[in-house]
Amino acid sequence: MADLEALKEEYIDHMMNPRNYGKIDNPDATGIGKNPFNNEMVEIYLRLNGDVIEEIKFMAIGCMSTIVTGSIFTDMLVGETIQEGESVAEEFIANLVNAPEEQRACGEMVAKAFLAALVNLDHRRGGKEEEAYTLIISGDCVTDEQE
Amino acid sequence: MNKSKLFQQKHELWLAVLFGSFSIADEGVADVIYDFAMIEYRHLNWLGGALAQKGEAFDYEKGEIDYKAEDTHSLFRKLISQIEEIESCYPDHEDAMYARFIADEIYFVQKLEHLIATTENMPITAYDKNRKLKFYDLDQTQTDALTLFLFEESYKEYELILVYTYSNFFTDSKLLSNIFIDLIYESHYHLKSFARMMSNMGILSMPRTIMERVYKFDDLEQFLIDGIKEEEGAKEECMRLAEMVNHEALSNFFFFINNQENYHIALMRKALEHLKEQQ
Repeated sequence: MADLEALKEEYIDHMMNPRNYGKIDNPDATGIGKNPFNNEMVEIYLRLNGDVIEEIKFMAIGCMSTIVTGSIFTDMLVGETIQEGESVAEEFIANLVNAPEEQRACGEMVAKAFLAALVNLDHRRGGKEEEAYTLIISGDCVTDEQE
Repeated sequence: MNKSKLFQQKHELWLAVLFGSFSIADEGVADVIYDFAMIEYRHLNWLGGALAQKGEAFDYEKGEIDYKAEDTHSLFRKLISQIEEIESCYPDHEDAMYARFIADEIYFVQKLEHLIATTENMPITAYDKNRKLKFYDLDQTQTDALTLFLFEESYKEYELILVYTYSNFFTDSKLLSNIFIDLIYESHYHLKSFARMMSNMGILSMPRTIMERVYKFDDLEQFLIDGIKEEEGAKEECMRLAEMVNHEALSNFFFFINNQENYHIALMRKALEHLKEQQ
C-alpha cells in the first residue's frame, strides 16, 4: 500500500469521491499507462471538441495513491487544449523526482496514460485503427514489503 | 429491458442497500438492512448464473448510485423508491426467480415502511469526514494509516466478491466452486467490518467500478498466483497496522483478520493444486 504523506482533507475528498472515474463510451482517444513490474495500470479516455478536452475519464488497477493522482490530474485537464495537457503531463513527470518514492510510479502511470492517449489520437487522426496506445512506466512502485 | 442492463441495476441496488446499511449507526437497524443487502446479493448471483447459463454477456459496470442520506428515514425512503423502481424491470413475473425477487422486495418495502413508523429518525454521520474512531484514541499517524488501509482493503474486498462470484458462474468444478463461495463470504465479512469502521470515522464511500479485465480473465492459475501474493500483502498490512495502532482491542481485530488471510491463502493454494492436477 502506498502512503500519501500527511492525509489532507483534499485527499480524503478525492478518495471518497474520485473525480472523472469511469469510462467514456466511444472515446476519441484511449491511452494506457502500465507498470510492467506489478501489472498495475491506468486507462485514460478522452472526448474532444476540436483540440479542447471536453471530457476526460480514467479507470485504474492500482492503489489509492493512483486513484487520488488520477482524480486530481484529470480534473486539471478538463477544458484545456491537448497541447496544454501535454505540457502539464510532461511537467508532472519531470516533477515526480521530488515526490515520495512510493508515489512516483502511481503519478507516472497517470501522466503516461494521458500521453499515450495523445499518441492514440495522433494515430487515429492519421487513419490508423487503434483502440488504445500503451506506454510503460520507467519506475517501479516501492511497497513496504519490498522495503 | 435488456437483461445485462437489469444485471447492472441489480448490482447498483445491492450496493445502495449494502452501503445504506453500513451508514446506519444503530447496529440493530443496520443488521436488518444488511440482511436485505445480502439477499439482494443472492438475487444478483442467481441472475448472473442464469445469464451465464444462457451465454448472455453481462458485466459489473455501474452508474452513479444515490446511496447517501442525511438521516435514517430519508435513507429508508430512498431505498423504497429504488426497490420499487426495479420491479417494473423484471421481464417475466411468472418465472420462479423473478417471482422470488418481487416477493422479497415487497417485504423489504413493508419492513422499511415499518422502520420509518417505529424507529427514531437518526442523523447519518457516515460521510462527515470526522476521522475519529469512536472509543479509540488514535493519533494522527495511526489515523492516517488506518484511513488508507480501510480505503484500500474495502475496495479490495468488494473486488474479490465480484471476481469470485464471476469465476463461480463459469466453473464446472465442485471443489473450485466451494472454494470461491468460501472466499466470497469471507470477503463479505471483511467488507462489512471495514465499511462499518469507515462509517464510524465518517469516511464511508462506495468502491469504484472494477475494470473488466480484472474479472474477465483467461488464466485462472495466474489469477490465483497473483491473488496469493495480494493476500500475503494484505496480511503484512494487517500486521503492520496492528503494531502501529498499538491498541489492544484494535490490534486484536487486525491479528484476527490476518489469521483469516492465512486460511484464504491455504484455500487459494488448494484451488491452484486442483487446477494443476487437472492439466
